[in-house]
Amino acid sequence: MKNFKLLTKLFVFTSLLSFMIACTTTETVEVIKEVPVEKIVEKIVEKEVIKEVIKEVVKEVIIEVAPAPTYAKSINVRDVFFFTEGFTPPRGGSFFEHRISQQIYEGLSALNTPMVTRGDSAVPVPNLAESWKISGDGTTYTFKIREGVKFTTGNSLTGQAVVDSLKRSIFVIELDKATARFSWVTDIVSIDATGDMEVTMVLKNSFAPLLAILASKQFLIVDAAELKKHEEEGDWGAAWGATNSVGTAAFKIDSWVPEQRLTLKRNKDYWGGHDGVGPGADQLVFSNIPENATAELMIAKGEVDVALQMDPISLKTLDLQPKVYTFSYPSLITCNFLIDRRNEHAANDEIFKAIHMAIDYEGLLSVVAMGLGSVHQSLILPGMLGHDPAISNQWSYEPEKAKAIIAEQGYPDGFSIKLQSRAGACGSVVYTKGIEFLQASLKKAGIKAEIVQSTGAKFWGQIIDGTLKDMGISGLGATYFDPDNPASVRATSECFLLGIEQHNKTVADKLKDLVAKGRAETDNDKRHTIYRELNALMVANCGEITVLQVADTVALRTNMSNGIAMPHAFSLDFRYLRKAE
Amino acid sequence: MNIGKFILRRLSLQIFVLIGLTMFTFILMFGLPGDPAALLFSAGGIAAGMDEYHAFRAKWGLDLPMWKQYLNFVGNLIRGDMGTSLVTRAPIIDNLRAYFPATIELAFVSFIFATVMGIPLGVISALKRNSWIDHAIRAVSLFGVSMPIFWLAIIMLIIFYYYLGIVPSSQRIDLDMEIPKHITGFYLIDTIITGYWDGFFNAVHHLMLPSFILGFSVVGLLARVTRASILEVISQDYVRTARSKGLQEKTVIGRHVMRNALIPTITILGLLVGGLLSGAVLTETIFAWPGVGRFAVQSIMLLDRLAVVDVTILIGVAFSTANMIVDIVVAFLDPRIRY
Amino acid sequence: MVDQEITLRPQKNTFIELINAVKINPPAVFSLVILFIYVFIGLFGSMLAPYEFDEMGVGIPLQKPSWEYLFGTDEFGRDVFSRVLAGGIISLRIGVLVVGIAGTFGSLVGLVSGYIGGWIDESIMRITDIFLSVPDLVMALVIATSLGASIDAAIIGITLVRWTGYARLIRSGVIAEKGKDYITASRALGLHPSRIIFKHIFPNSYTATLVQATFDFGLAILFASGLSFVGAGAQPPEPEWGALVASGRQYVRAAWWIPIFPGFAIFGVVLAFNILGDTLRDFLDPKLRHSMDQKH
Repeated sequence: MKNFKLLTKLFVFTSLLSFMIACTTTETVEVIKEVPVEKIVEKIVEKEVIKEVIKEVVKEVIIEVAPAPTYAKSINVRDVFFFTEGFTPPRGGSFFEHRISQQIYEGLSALNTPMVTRGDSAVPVPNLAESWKISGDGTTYTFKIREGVKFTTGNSLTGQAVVDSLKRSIFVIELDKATARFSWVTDIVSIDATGDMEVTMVLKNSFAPLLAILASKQFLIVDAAELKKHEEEGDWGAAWGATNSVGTAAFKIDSWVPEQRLTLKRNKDYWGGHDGVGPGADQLVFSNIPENATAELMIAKGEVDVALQMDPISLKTLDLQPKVYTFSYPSLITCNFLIDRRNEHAANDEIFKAIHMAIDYEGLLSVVAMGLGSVHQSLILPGMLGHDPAISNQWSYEPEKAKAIIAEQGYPDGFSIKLQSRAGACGSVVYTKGIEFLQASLKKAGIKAEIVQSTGAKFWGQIIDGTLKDMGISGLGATYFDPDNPASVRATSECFLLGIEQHNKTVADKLKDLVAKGRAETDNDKRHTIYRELNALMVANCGEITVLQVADTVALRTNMSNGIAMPHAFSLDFRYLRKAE
Repeated sequence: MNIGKFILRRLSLQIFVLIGLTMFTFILMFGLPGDPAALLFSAGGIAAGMDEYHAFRAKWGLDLPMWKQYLNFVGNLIRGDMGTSLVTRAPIIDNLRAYFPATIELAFVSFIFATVMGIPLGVISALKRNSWIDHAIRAVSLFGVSMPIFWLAIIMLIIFYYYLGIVPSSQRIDLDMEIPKHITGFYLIDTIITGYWDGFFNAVHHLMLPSFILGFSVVGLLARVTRASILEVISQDYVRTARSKGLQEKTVIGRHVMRNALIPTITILGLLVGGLLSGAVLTETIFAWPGVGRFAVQSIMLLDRLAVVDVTILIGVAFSTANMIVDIVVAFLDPRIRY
Repeated sequence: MVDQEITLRPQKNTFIELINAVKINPPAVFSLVILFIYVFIGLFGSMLAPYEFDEMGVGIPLQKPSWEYLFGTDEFGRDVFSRVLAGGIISLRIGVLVVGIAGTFGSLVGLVSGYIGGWIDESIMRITDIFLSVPDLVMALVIATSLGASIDAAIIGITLVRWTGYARLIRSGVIAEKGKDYITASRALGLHPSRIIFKHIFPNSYTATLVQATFDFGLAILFASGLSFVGAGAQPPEPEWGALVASGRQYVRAAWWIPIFPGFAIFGVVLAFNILGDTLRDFLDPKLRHSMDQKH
């Protein structure tokens, strides 16, 4: 009994003690010191510095990365998994699926990722296709397929294999009833192997984004014949493909335990990629650690080598850790506030303008996104044709002016509106926090916003029915690096669901027209002009108010180097990553 | 007492309850505002046209009236088909088969922990009633019941993983250890079957912190009931008689008190399982435990309604089965209960 | 003289005894103090708060606790102390509504079910079986999300899973009481059933319910915080304590004060209710009370 007493005392004592230690020894992030409240915004993070750092990293990388002479045994990666349909193209649209598919499959074309990260114009470069020819009218593409490339199944890459793979993708896309997203696939006249190592694709009309799309997840090249062998109940081998990979890329799936772990093994026969860089590790182990707080502890302790998708605050905390460094890069995700233009207030063009002025863009960036990302007010991202900083940064937070406009329009005391908050995040911006901040910034402009809880299903259901009465938030990621991606998704669809047609028919027609024109135009200068015009129209009229281009975040142990972003896969390009053991 | 008849009655009740449960959760889930198809189509931007949207709804039977969807669901369920997930487009049963053992394993180990902790604490507390040791035990065991379990989990993780480094952080096995071959899905069993002893000890190590926290959340309940029932029995006449007969205190407590006080404690064990399963829903995220709780939460958020209904039913079956076993055990033990 | 007093006014005597029991029981005193503070904060918290709980930028974001900002500031530069105070009324409301509605409704159902018996009793019990067949938090989670995650949804969800407990408690009390002679006598006298139920049966079976309600108050707060954590309950900007912990947990290492203080608030209040419930039960349960007095 005496022992027991002692034990109880000891237990109480140690738990209290360790709790105190935990509380007092936590590293405190001194985000800002002694700054007037109004100036919080600029001071929170030196985001310019971060950008510079990225540029430096990228430059070095281009010079330094070479095929790894020795391979690190294993790289542990923290990730957040998502229910998945498997990684076999074209299915699956989550960031997680994009990320993995881009490590195990390759397309005919590729994006030069270091260049995209730098914000340079990202012209697709040859990858599995050694070169291509486009006919003068832009309707016939002839691809010369690279020699000596092998699938991880052992089969060789041939013209016929490429044709089978593309046809499989198109068939499955139509099967899944997702054709509208790829409406151009119905414009394909033929895809044929016109030689052992040559593929010819004929389209009804010219289609400029094709090369960028061929680098995107949906059209990565798979060994379709092998998949066909493992078909079950007409699933096109998807079930089998979830635990087996049939690609040509640097890694292949070794094992896949849903919700838990995905192991990729180095492809020993890898041909080296378009830039001749091969993987630096024998295996990549992706572990699903959904809780950010847990992941933060794990990388601080060194249990994982790389942590993806970290919360911005964790980056700040981890930066203070001696053995961890972090960086972020502009992601292809934007954060948007949505409002239906048929609404009482948004229908008034002047008030719509005032709403733009009532959003504290800089504050959102510095407080909610912790400075990771940039203010960006249009749909076309830096590096894409049609991007113009003058359009993307035209609004600033002017609550007084907004208030005056609203008063002028017959609301001297402002008006009330509801904000729909829901679970989710656009990159590092958690929706609930974005909405909270929006509420505060609208308040200064005299707009009384009440937050109501909603769900994604309810919110999007209302948008589809055209019954959205409130303001909401959404995030949107571009999956192929061409202005056609945001344009076709937003200008022809979301904008219309938000009532642009009922609000202003001329603008609506013009938008549709511009999207079609931009697709068909083959000359890059002319495309730039078209998308610039489209972008300006969208910003002025569309109920989807883009506010931020967020950043993807990465934390690495200091023995890791060459973390190069692969923005369209929402992750690193793990081929470059090197680990010193 | 006819125990066979009792079990039969209990089983038939069970079936009735399960039918009611499917109906209730189904109505709840399918009465939800919002449209899962809309949510799916919003992923990556709503670019699909209305025709595709309606075709999609038709393909998945989302446009049928609710009672028809329910009848379809029950019909499939009887045939052993739990339906297909709208999100993963794979049979839900596959997901459950993968995730459910993880939760059960965690809950079972926590259960053992709670029992081993809770009953002795309750006994000591009762025997030393109103002493400082009684107060201390009650306070400590109440700590567990009163703390938000997810909050406790984060704090414990920081202390025991980050600062002390004596427990693993998350998941069921170390990141660089091979995941045991899926036979039953219970790591502790699978590793033994395959003779993967490193894996076994590692899995045990990984179970320690989560099951401690989960168990700690119900230890208080158990200690409380045990204490109360012992106090009740101690004041009974036959105990006094036994004492006055001059029997040793040890014998009195061991033979007379414990045996009789155990019945209410066993009754509460069934409820304990409920508390553990609830707690699992809250702790699985923190410990990256690939269990059914996280699956349920994710399914709810994505409005994968069939998955939610299936999970609820499965948890219901597990929970009611635990309670049924408890009822039967109590019926065996307690001669007073007659059915 | 004293004996007479007891038979005439048992309530007063019970009350005095309770006070005496509490006096010798330090944990009970502690819990009462906490609960007093809690109710006070719940009712007057917003008046005591030094700042508006949702006012952004009253301080520099992520500041350590100081005299100016007792619990520090959060990521938006809001005063955490004011937010915790503002959360008091929310948790109070959750507890009162859940216990009030579940208690009243459950007790009524239990009374009716137990008194009338027969097929009504049977079917009501089968309905409670359905609710009891799934762990309560899981059930509350499903109900709350189906009603659209919010505080009210959480309250409804928790209420719906808790009423069955009261129904069963009261019912068993009623059934035990029903067979007793005085009820049979009242019936024979032709008293109206509702009079019998409320005048005679209920007062004799409410003690267990009272204990249950005390525990449930704490449980409701704990459940609500759990629901907030998984995103089915209160969401930001509501300063519900669970939501504060949930949304602040990313800051646990960077700014521990954001999640730790609201967590302590939940812990303290729930602990107090649990201790109070324990004390009450020991006191009200005649057998235990007997054993408490007994010198060992």
